[in-house]
Amino acid sequence: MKGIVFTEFLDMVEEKFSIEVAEEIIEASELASGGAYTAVGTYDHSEMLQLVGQLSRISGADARTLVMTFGRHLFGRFSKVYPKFFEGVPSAYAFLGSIENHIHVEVRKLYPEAELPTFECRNGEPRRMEMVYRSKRPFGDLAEGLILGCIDHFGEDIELSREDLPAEQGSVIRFTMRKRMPPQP
Amino acid sequence: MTTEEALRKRHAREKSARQQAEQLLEQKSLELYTANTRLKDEITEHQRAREVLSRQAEELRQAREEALESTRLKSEFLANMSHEIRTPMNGVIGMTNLLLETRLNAEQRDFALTVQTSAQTLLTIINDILDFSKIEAGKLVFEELDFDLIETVESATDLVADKAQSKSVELVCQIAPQVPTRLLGDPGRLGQVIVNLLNNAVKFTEAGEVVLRVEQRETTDKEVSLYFSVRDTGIGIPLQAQKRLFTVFSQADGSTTRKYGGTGLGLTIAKQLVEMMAGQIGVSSAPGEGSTFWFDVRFARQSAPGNNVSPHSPEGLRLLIVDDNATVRQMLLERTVSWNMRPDEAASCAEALEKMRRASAGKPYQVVLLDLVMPEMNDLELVQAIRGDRTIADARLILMTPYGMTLDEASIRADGLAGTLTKPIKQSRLLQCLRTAMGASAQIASPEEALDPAAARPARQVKKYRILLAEDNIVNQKVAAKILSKMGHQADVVANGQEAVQVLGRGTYDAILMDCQMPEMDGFEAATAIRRQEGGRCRIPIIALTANAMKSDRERCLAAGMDDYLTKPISIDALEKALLRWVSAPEEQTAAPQPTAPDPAIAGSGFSGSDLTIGPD
Repeated sequence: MKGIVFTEFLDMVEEKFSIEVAEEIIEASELASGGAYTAVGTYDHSEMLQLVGQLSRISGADARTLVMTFGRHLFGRFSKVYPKFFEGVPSAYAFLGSIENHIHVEVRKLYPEAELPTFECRNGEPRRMEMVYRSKRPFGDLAEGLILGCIDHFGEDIELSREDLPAEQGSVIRFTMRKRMPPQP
Repeated sequence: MTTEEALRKRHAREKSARQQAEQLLEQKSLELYTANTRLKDEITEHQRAREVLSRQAEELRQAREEALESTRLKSEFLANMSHEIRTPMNGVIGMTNLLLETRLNAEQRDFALTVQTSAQTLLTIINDILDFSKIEAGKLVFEELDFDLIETVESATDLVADKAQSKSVELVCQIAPQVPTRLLGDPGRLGQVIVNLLNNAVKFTEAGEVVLRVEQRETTDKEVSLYFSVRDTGIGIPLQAQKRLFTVFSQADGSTTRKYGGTGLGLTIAKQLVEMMAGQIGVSSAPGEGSTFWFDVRFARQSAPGNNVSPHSPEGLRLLIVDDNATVRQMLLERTVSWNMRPDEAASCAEALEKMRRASAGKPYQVVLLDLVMPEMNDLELVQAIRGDRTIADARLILMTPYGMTLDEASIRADGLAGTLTKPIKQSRLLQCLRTAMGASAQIASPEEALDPAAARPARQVKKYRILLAEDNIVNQKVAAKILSKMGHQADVVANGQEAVQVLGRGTYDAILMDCQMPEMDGFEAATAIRRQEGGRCRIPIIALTANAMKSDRERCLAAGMDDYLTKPISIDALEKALLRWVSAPEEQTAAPQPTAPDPAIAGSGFSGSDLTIGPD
């Protein structure tokens, strides 16, 4: 998992909770990295799972909500750190559609070792979009948070539903989005 | 955990993260550096490869140019050999012709005839190869001459008429009536293409007909696009072979080379000539159904206006065309209708008689054009049948005879014919014949005889010219001198231009035959010197003789002040025509005072007519 996810996560913890909470969850987890993350590094995804688990334990909030909240936050950060990927992209559907064939292609150029999830998009009807997320890792909640962050970013009125599909390992999730009709004047 | 503690831990973490980041940066920098170095190496490698490639391309280009140049040089060599090859051929053909006019026994005559035929064949092949080389060497220059299309097409047809006749193949020349005939271009090259296609057609046709047709496609005030087709009823060509037909050194089938002979250059040359005239050439054919070769070319019209059709055609003439060949009938119908005559046709003698009898009541036929060779009744029987029938006996009869057959005047008179026409029928001859038949009503004559000076060649030549022949080659001297003496002229021979100029200062001549390439002073210089000497007071006709068949020489000859140009081997016909054209009908030549003989010291180096010992005079 890319270091930016960890640095952003810890930044969020420091911001939303406190520096002490951040240090506490690092302390409580058994991290190979010792919690010293740099955005351009790569770390084992299990460290993220431990950090989230510890935060849930300390804060009392459930892990799913925490990860989704983080996903939403992370997307906002992406839009500031990587503005290039947003140039000329008019809508949430357009952005989500560009992940697989554009953004991930560029990411692989920079980080050939990155293990990326796949997003298979299908535009069936006009206002509807279906997206199948496949990953070796259990980060469906993070993906969901990211999608919500994307919808926030473009300020559209889109309803998101999620269906977990059976998977031999990792996770396969179908996200279905429906854009609501603007209210008739 | 106190805030201070947390901050310290955080500081330690940040420091460690920084070190990690620095390490990563170091590592990435190294990777970048390595990648950069590799890229540079690859670029250098690419550049080197590109240099090698462009060097190779340059070498290839040079090799190609060298190959082209060497081909061009070889072709040029051959083209230049033209002179060397034609000179001895002139000797062989000329001497054989003279030999054939001597007293020979049957065996000797047969040998001499074989030599003659072989030499002619060889000359044709040599001409093909030389033409081909000239085209390859880029030395072929097209002329821009005023020419008459009908004349060009008909004389080309004449050249293969003998061969067609010997195979009993009907050769028809059909020029569509509306085709403009006064054109600007190279008639020699056009004729060559036509002859090549006709020769090819006749060669592969065992029975039936070979039809040359000329049609007009698009015309403007300035230009005419003509479509020529040569259709035969020969063996035909399979589709596959058609593609190879026009390529160099190939024939429809390798085995045809052995069966039919030939260099295989004829069609290639035709194609190249047509393309050089910015035209297209092609063929359509099916095995067993004959072939049609076609080409189209554009010619400019002559700027000076002229009359396409001869005037005074007997308009409204009632005419019956009797021939078993439908194409011949169609050609004659088309032509005579265009002259505003009223022709009918008959495919057999019986049909002819029936039509004549039926017409006798109303508008009888004034002239009957009758083919000599009809299947079911011989011509004389038909002539007798017509003469024997009082109602139709008045019709004037013109007999169409196969090429090479001439009826003597006695039998023409005996048959009561109004004239004869040799096939393939020429337009001008046809019109003259019809006119003569109508005009000279009762007079029975052979218009052919009366109208064609060449036909009556040996007997009619009575004028005696004194001719100066400048020629360095001993064999050619003999040939030309002998031909001239056969024609009844007297020839004095000198061996170069210098001698010619000197001799001319002393004697009076009616014309000079001037070889172009001679030692000491060549024909061009000599002609220039002679014209200077004359100073415009009088002008002796100078006819150039050259073995160099380059058309561009013509301009050189004319520029040097010569009047005409003949190519060796000298054809008796061409020589006679040239003399007729340039030596004005003189006051009684036989009575003219004998000019002084040339200085023996000068003439002795040559060969004078009186030295000839070959054959009787």
